[in-house]
Amino acid sequence: MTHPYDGIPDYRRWRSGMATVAPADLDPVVAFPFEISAQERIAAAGSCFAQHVARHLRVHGFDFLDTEPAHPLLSAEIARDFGYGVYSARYGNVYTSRQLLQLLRRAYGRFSPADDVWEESGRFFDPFRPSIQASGFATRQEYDADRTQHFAAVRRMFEQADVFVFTLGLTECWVSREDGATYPMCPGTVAGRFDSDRHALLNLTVEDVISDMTAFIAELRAVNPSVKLVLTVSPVPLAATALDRHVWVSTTASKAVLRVAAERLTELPDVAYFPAYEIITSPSNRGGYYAEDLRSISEAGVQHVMALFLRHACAPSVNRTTTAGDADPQAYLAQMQDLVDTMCDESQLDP
Amino acid sequence: MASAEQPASASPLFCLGHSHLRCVQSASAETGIAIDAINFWEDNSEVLGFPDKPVFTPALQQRIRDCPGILFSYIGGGGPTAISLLSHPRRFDFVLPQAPVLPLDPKAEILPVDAVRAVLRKKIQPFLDLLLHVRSLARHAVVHMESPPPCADAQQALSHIPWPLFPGMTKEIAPRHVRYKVWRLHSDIVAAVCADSDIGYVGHPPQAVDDEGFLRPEFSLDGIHANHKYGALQLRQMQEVR
Repeated sequence: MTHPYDGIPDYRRWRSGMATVAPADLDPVVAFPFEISAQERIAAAGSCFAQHVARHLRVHGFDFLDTEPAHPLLSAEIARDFGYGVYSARYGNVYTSRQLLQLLRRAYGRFSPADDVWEESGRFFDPFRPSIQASGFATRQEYDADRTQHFAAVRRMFEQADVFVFTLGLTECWVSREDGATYPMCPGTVAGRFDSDRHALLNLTVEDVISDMTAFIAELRAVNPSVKLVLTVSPVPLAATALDRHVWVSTTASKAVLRVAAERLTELPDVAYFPAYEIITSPSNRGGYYAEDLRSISEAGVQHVMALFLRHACAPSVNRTTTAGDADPQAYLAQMQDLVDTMCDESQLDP
Repeated sequence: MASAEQPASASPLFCLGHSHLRCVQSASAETGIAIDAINFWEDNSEVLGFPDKPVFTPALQQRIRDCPGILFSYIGGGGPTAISLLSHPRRFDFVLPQAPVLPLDPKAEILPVDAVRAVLRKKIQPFLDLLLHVRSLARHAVVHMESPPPCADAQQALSHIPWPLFPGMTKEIAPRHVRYKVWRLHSDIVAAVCADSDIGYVGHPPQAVDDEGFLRPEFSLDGIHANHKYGALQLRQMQEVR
């Protein structure tokens, strides 16, 4: 008597695929639909976790696309303080599918939010990248000039990327009641002022995320027909939920929505899902890839993710060594942790 | 060297600093205003530990302690030249908050002014450390003299640059407004440090600049430094302070 489970590979069974596999050997990727060469230009955006991805892509010799790099006058420290070099352009964290779609439409002039700028004590903050300069912009002129320059860089990124990696982070977001403009952070947290008459909570559904991403991919391919997409879901839990329920319940609901949406989106051509979320959250490592705050991802976890990304998604010519090659790995890790701590503005919700 | 018997008001003006000090040294003879100048640009042997932890030699420290009156500083002042005399291979510009309507270089990348300020501050920090060192030693007032504004036309500076020492640099003077903005930013940084540190600050002589704030050509020595005419104006400013 036979059945569909006869002779299936080990990875398809829990015992052989999970329970008896050493945590560091867990490999849920199995296969990846396309191969990325060292010559292909990779761009990245997304929530905090995407910073890790971007960082590793750089150190592994990929042609990581940075269309808004820091000026050589700026030291690494100053560049970091001003949001350079974190992603492929200086857009900061893009937590939601709605924000990503909005970024593309704003860059091409198809959407101009009514909530244009936040002025506080003579400083000017970008509602859509409020953390990019911690103290805001010094003048309105600088703000306008910088944004014009930024959008040009974003357009170059969308048009020149061979592969676009996007990490879906959140479903909860805040929008303008006036025109639906989506904020990366709730007004009043990092900058701006919250006004319940002007700002509303939106918790994206599976259908919303699929709709946003489908529109995004279509509009992206209108300017870059051959671009391939890699989707991941951030394993970083919510720092806080705006809904009156436990933050863990909101986290699981949010991640489930994003995971289902990502699954459905892989039905589109040249859209792949990479299971970073599964690697980090696997019972196999018993929570070992989370730091003491149970939210930040340890460097070991990130390295596990990236090792599998390099093994399955990248051509053999890519440097597959998973260490960054720094002479002082502890200093390197400390620096990188500092980087992530600094740039993860969602943590402002849970001070 | 100042004599201890002379009243402070009649003793030579005690000045120390770097290359911009040269203009008052040149003007001293023709104006008859005596100065006692220590120019580190010409002889840096009395500055130890530069740039990490700059301090003066014990002898100079004592000399500063013994200064009977106001001590005038021309320390530093080269930051704007270092950053913006020549066009950077990746041209940059920024919006100066004090004058946001000044033109932007259309070929340049716009940088956040706070980032440029941070770059400049880091660049000149050793000189600020020296200035604060002076303040900590001097028994009387310390007054810092603002470095001269840039010339609108600084082409003459090109002939003074030892190009073999700067491979890869563009041989193009940066747009005048870029140089002006960097100079203003530099002056703001230095003035703020002075204000926070009980150091007086004297701005450039207004007669020496044109309507746009650039150094008038007749006050320029080499496109970077001011000449003896400018030095004469500054000596009078110093006398007024005293």
